[in-house]
Amino acid sequence: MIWKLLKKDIVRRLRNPGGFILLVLLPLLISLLLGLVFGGGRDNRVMPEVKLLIEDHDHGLASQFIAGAFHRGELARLFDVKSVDEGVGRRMMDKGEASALLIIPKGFADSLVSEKPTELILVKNPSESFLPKIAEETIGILSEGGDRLVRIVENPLRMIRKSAQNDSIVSDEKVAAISILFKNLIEKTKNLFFPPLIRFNQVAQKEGKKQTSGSVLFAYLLAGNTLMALLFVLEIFARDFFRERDNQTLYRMLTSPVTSRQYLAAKLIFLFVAALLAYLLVWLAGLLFFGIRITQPISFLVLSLLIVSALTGVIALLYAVVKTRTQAASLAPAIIIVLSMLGGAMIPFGSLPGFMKKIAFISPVYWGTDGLHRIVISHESLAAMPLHVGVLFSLGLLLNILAFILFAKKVQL
Amino acid sequence: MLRIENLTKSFNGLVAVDHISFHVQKGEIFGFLGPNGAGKTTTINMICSLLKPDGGSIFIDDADIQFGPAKLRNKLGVVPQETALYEELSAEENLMFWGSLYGMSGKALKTRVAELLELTGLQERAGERVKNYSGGMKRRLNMAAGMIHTPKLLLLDEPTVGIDPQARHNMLEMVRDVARKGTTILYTTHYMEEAELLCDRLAIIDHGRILVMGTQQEIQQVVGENRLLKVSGTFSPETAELLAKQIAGLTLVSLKEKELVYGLPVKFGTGQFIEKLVAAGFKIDNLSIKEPNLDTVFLKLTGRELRD
Repeated sequence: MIWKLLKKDIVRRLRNPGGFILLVLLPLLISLLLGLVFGGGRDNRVMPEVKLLIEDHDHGLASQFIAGAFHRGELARLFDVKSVDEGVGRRMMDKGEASALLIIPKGFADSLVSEKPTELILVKNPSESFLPKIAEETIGILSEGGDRLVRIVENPLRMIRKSAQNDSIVSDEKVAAISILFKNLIEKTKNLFFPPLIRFNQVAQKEGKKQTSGSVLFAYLLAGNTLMALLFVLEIFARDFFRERDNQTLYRMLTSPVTSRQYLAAKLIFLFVAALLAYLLVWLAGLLFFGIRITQPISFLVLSLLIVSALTGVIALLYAVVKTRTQAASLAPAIIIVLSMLGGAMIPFGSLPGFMKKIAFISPVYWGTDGLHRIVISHESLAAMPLHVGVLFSLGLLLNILAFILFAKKVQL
Repeated sequence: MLRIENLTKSFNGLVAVDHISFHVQKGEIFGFLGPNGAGKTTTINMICSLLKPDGGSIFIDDADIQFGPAKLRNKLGVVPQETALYEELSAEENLMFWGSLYGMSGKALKTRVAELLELTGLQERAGERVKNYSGGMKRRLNMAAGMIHTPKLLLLDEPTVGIDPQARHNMLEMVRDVARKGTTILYTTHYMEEAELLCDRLAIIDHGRILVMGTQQEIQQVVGENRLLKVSGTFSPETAELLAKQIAGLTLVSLKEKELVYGLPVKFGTGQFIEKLVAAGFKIDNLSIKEPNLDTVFLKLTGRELRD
């Protein structure tokens, strides 16, 4: 009998495929949006490049050093640098064709060598907020670095400058003296630079097990986001409890050999199955499109069943308690948002205020999100988190049983 | 087929059904006539065992429904006031689903669904979703869903409310057809004309109590050959009572401050009677004459019209 009732609900839902697909894909769409914002694509390049124009009026060694810095390493990935002739940069900026324009003034290198104050001019595109800021910060760091370098080598530079001013040909003695100054400078600073105290070592993971920083971030966000969206999806499906009552189909059902228990069991199973389908689709998309790797599939599946069961219980209980569809529609968003916030689905758990962290344990979203983080990001197995299993299992069992009992009373006329 | 004995039900101290008793014979169409809120639907809900009576007994085929109501549900078919159907499904799918709940399956179910679609005239649009149906089509399908398992007792709770005359006519034809095939029918309505046209016997119910019960002829004897005159206006109650005593055969059915109802013998001319009223000092604002029928019975018994 339960299967007949369940089948009927599935067919009804499938008859309205647009709505059904939208409901199932709701968490997926939100997660996709987050993925685009926070990164995690296969090529790990979702951050737009900073388009930087450089107008070099000096054409000296120092200006070439600055321009060259943007063509090396990480800066080369972050910046799209274009050297332009004098006056061209301003015109391009006026048309909004770049994020920033760096102007290196004439005599820049001479000023550095002669220890005279000089400046780099950065023109930012006012229609962009984020990318010009990156350019400003980067050039600021380069200027700071250049300034320190000049101060470290100021003595040898001063001697070179004097020699160049006084003699047309530098004598062997002066070359020897400058060499000694450089040697002493290196001796004094070698403990700082050789070997470096912090060594940056980049290790490439083997292909096939690659989980980029972007996909980790996506998995982190996806866990909480999915559970919040799932609560909303469940709430929409649960409205059928009232729809059947208002349409009198519940009345007709209860005059037939169907018992109220069979009817309720079918409804709860439908909620669970529909929510589980939505949930699994979201994670499947995470695996396929965002490079998420689940190294503990059994633990993941078991935890997922426990999570969906607990969340089904939350929404079923809400609908068992309220008297009308309007009451449910008013209360549900508030409850879902509170539970999601406490569970770290909206704001990372670590950023929550202390008092919220203390009461977070009441939210199944907290246990679900934390459990998923540990399985998907830290690659722990379910055996390492018995408390999560126990809490989610108990919540799922208790909430669903309670909802069932309250509903059974409600369906009596 | 159906026997009700001393049935009682109250909600928060308000008596909805007050010690009613009646029986319905096999194959009979029994009308339950009364205004909205009279207790008709409460009685049906108790027969379906959806409501537990405060007192009294209900027997279907001589079996008390309080002992094993689930077993008796196969014998019962219910057609609720509202169209209790799944609008996302087609007529055929609805009937297949409701039939399957009664244990029907396979060829037997398909054959029965086809029969009902033909009976309701919906076979040509059987595959179409119910949400596209007209009100009358939904009503017919609603009735078919109540009959899918060929019940012995069919409870129809105001099945024609809110539908057009043509659709109502079709519905009444369907009910007659089902009864002819041997199904016992309890038909609740507040439309006097429907009860007159359809029912073999009927009971008039008001405020949870059966006022009168029997065949149409038996019930009409309550008002006899009298027409009912409802008079609204200004008059002295004493004069109104005196007039009833002076004219042979005239009865004062009800008397309110500005309204009264007289039972007037048919042989007494209406114009002549109005002259007497005016001569007695009545200032008449409105006057209506009701020929003897079920509505006049209800008016005589309650002082109200059925649709008041």
